[in-house]
Amino acid sequence: MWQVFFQNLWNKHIRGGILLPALLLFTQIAYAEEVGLFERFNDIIQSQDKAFAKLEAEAENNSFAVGDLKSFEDITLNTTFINFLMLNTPLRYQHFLTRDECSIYDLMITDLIELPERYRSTVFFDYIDKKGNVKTTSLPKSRFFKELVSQKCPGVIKISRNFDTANLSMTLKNLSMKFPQNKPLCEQYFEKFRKDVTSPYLCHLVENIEKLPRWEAQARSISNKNKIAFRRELQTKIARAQKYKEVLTPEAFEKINKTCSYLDNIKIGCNEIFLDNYWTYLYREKSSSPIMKTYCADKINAKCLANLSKETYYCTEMIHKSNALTPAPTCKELQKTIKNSRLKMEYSDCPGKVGLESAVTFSRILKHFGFYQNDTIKDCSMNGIDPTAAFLKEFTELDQWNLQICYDDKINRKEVCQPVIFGELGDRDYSLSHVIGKVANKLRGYNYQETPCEIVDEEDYKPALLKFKNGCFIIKEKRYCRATNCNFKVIISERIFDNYTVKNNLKLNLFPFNYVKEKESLIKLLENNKKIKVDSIPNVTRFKSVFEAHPDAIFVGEGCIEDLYPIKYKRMRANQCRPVSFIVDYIYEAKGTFAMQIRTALDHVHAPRIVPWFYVFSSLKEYQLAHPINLWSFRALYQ
Amino acid sequence: MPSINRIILIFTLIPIFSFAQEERLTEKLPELKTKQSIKNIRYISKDGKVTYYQKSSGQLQYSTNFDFVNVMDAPKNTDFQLTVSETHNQVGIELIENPYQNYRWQKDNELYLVGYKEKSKPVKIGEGTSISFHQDAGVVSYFKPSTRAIVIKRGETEKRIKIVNDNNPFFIPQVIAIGPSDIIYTDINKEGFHAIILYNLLDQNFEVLYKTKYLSMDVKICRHEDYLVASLSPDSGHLFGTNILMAPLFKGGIAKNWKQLYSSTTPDNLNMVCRGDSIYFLKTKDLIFDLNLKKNAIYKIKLDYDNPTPAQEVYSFEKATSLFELGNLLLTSVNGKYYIIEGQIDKESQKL
Repeated sequence: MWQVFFQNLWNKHIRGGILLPALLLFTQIAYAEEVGLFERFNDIIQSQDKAFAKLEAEAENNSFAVGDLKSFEDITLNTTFINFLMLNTPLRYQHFLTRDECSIYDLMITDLIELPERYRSTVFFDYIDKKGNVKTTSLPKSRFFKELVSQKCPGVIKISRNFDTANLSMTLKNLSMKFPQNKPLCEQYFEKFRKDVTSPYLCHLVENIEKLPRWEAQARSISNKNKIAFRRELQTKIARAQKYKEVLTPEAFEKINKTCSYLDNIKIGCNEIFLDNYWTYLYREKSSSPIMKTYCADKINAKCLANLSKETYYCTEMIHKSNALTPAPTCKELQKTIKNSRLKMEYSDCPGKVGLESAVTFSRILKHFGFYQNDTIKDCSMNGIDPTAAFLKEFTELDQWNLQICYDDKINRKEVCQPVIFGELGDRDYSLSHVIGKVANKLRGYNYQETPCEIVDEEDYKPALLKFKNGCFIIKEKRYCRATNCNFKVIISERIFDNYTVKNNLKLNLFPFNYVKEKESLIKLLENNKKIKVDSIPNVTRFKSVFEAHPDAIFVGEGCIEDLYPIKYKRMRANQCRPVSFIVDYIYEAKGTFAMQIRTALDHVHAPRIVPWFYVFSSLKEYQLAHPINLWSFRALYQ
Repeated sequence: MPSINRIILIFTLIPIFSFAQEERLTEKLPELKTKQSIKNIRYISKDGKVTYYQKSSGQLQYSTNFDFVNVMDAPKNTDFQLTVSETHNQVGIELIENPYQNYRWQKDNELYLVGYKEKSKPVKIGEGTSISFHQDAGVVSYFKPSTRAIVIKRGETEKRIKIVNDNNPFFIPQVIAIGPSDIIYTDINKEGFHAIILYNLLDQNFEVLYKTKYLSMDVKICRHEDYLVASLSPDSGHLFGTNILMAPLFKGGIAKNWKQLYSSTTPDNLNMVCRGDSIYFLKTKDLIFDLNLKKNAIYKIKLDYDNPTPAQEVYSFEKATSLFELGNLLLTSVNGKYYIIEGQIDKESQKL
């Protein structure tokens, strides 16, 4: 059976690499000699027919029974028959054959090999009989699978049963079909699909659904009542395909169909799955995505899609409303960068309302790796700080969180301080309403657990309204309120409550700034506590190697904004360097040079930018030269 | 095999390409070399005799004629950003406390003033960023990111201008005081368009001197004698070209008298510097669209409102993204190294 496996490999590499060009070359020569292509093709068919007839004759001379076998291991498909199968296997499905020695049976049982009708029902194989003679014989396909393949490759029979009409629903339910979320993952998805044992069966489903209209038309047009067997076979196929159609969702069908159709050309396949206009894809397939909400607000409709697709600065305008660095890139650039994004961004953030840029980047990193997701968050600024706070709460008990609300504990004669974030964070201990409630409880006996404090914007607070007469209200000045720095006052039952002080000296550094406190930097804490691997990235070569080897890898660095975004932040004097952290999640190449896809802590998470590599390098280098410990900060992070 | 060939080709080409690049840089633009680490230098006088520099221990000092004076002490790793008035009588100091531990973009930094080459203790004037001097250093301005207000100080008098921009929290306006009560500054309106505004502190009236036509247009301003110079360059996308405009400050309305000094269909970085009687800027010579990669050259235009002249190429320096002055030198920086575009180099280099 190894013969088949190696033949498959030969088929994959030699036939594609040598025979095809040779054939094309030959056809060109043939053209020069005025011999038509059609004539050559006819020759091949005729020679196949002759070979097949010879094989049939040879097989007829050797009747077969399982009892004749010396061992099941000695069964091999006949070489002429294999060549015949190869010739009739669509190129896209030939990748399935390289998996293992049983893979050819997967293709045969799923009918992905497009054999001419008259050759479909018989399988030709060689075996060694008990006397040690090698014989060529044949069996009907169903019997061959039942008696021989079930012994030789039992997995094939098992999987095929899972995909029969009776078990299909359950199988698809258990089968986690993960379609790529973005383009970089798409190539890996295709590679994986080529190797997956269930893939031929999935392609079989869509092939059948695709053929269903043709079969139905055929069934309607059969006039000859004598073709009973053919009609019965057709009806079986139709019933099966209808069942497949019923079970497979239209979305899954669409994706599997595109995958199976472009298995031999991943690039085109990925373009098909991720339409060139990514806005259209998002609108059709992920209209509830936070990305669409960022760009369409509450009006996710055809008009918004038209704006995204046609209006150059529509996205710039929308980002301008979202408290992030502006102007954002054009819609055309954004659809490309969002499509290529590896960073997980199924949430919205607003860096300008956080007020602590290292936390914005670190929270994005944590969310990318799936840590500290909090679906209760409604205020976008909390997405930029809560994951960082939750991480530090877990691993440091927030002992360095110098953003606190303090009060005088007169009984114990000491000052008591509670870590805080200025926003609503549900049941988090450091949620502003929770902290104020707790302090009010201690000092005024306010029952915050029964009636929690409510955060209200200044313009929404109308003391004359009945609802503000009783309870605890934290009234914040919207313009001067960020997650880490906020002007607010507290009113409890119409009386000002101000028996507390705010201490704000919060310092969070992504990277170490001296050797003594190296372990306290956020990246080091992440590496030590969450088992995230951290690699230094000195150049593009290393970047590409890590990027390709680790599908979840993202890259983080800190550099000078004057080099990274020189138009927005002009360097006014020597040694001016305003540090900014950034995440890179894609690389572009053109004319032998590179650019990185970047989100600084100032940018909206849904507005990545394409920045030339030498800007990034210059920014990192300038930062390094000024840094107290000469830190090269560009790192890869992956699990 | 093809991939092996490609690898061999790449390894063969990289040194040749790098060497060619390095040759071109060193041949055309000399690198600024100093005896002490250039990263410590914060200011050099035009004659090269006075140097302000910082130390990692947190001290700001100046040196002159082999002597040095301690200007102020701050915590370790403090970054001092200095602005020296054109009249050389005032030094503005922005004190950024260890930016590698705690850089917050909307935080107000401590701001100080001290006499130029004076041994007296710097005086704290407020909190904010981007100190500038105007009116022969009679007026000091700075910006407060926390409240998005421009502060104008004349002696003990302090006025504030709240900028309109409320959406881009990381925007820092440029400010030029052209008279006792007239302030020109850059701002962003609610829709996101950049503009140049004239504000009168007395009657508190605004006048829009220029508003960009496109959302992505960035505006920078500088003053040359009695003229205002404005540069307009695309900050995202490459659909629109660039402009440099000039208008007289005191000849019957700035907004009506803009004259175009330079225009181009290329998306130039500009990053202009008003220097002497010219402005220097970066022009895009080549663009790799897909990478947003611009290959730049340094150009200059003589600032003559009545007889505008065409821009002249000074140097072709592909990787230049910035232009700034240090002492008598006009510099650009790449990969942390400084290259001299114009100015006396020998004098400075020997003294630093």
